[in-house]
Amino acid sequence: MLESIEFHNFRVLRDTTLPLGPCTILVGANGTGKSTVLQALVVARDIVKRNVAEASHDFVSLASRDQGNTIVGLTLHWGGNQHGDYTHLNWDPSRGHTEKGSKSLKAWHFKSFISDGNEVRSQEDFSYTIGQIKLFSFSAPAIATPSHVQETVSLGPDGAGLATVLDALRDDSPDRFSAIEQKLQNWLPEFDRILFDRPSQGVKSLSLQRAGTQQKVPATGLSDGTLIVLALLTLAYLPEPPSIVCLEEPDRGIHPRLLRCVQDAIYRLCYPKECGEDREPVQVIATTHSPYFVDLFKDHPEEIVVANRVGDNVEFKRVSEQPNIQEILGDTPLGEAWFSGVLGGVPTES
Amino acid sequence: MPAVLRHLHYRTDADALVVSLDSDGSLSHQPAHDEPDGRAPKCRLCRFREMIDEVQESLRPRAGRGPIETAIGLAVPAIEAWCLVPSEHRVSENEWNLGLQGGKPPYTKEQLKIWTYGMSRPSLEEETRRIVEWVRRIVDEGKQPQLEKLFPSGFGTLARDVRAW
Repeated sequence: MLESIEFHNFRVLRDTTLPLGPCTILVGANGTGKSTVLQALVVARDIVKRNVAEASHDFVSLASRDQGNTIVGLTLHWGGNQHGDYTHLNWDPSRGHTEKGSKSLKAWHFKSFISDGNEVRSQEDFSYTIGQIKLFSFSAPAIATPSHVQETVSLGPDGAGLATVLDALRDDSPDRFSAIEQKLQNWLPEFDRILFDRPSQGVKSLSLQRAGTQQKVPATGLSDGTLIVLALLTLAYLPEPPSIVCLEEPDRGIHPRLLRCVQDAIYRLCYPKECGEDREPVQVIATTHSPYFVDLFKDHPEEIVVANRVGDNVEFKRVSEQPNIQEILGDTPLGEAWFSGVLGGVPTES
Repeated sequence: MPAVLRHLHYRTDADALVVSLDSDGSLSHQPAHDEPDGRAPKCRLCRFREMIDEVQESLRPRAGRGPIETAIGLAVPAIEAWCLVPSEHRVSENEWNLGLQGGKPPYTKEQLKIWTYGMSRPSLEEETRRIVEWVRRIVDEGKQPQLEKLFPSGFGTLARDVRAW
């Protein structure tokens, strides 16, 4: 598990450290680097995997704009059994080139160290974990689009491929598939079954059956919120989810009453043993702008991290570490307290 | 809550509204708070009653019906404390208040969740399932008096409100 990430000249994150736990929900005004945090982890993954071909970002554009030839760096601090160990990734522009692709990637370096500062000889453990990082920013149209059956079945960053993932679960893990259908009935009682079609050779599409009827609603006819809930639910029930999951606004398009389901899905990933799952916990880092979603973390303020602009830098702080926090909150809902500005993380007035 | 009460009054044929509140660490309700002019501003249940009175006073009468009856309970520190009756855990208002007076709460909301659900972060379905099971058990086994004895201000107040309807 990652305990924290240090950022140096990484876009708006000039010199700051983000504390992390098994579940971390990032809140803050627009432009305070919440999405940059998630992108940074994806960059780390792509560097470690030398995955330039699939990289969706321009490595050069990640530097803070006015930093010239300053070295851009990320330091991932590990916890648990690897407490004290860290992986350092940096980009030295003097050794790189300016165009996107393999040339600029050459300027990135990564090394892992144990707590006494000695370099780790085998980077495999760290590379494996970093290489598994996945960012999801679900998009209803992508989820609804019929997906091509491929040898490797995986949920795309925007939720594309959901039909094939669910179809594979139905065949390979029927218990999980039926648990998803059961949860779907609890969360969205208007539907009771997940159905599949083959609109053309090698293509799968999904639809939901209206409860108590034979009426099929194709994915393209489902609401954005329904599709995103289904994608989150599927992610939570994957037999081998990624080790670190970044979620960009998982509450997007979802009715406030269903946000508890989003939280439940996240907790299922983070605390599998409590849900009867026999697998390693997934570390989740999510962003949100929803006070209603933040309200749900009242009992776990350590899971909410507020991003604040301080000069030209950003500072991250757990709500639980703010001074006199319990006295300040009283019985005020956590989201309301955040919205009011007393926790920081709100747009500043001009 | 004011909107819920107004909705029930004007749009439904509801006779009563029952609310259970988590205290969120605030004081437990005291018998003295039930005396005339005894309401305590720091007591969540008293504040709730005050708000309900204000709303009730502002409502137009319903044709052929009286005002909506209300019953409010305050669980300290959370409803899971009630759900642990009957059990081997030493959970009661007295334990809670003694702990607070000694400067250290005897248990946390997280501990109560673990004792009740076997986990600190139960899903909504799990919470609902366990609480419905518990309510059935309390009714079937006639454990309401024990609940009132252990939580005289919180559950007892709610029970007395209901009996007064």
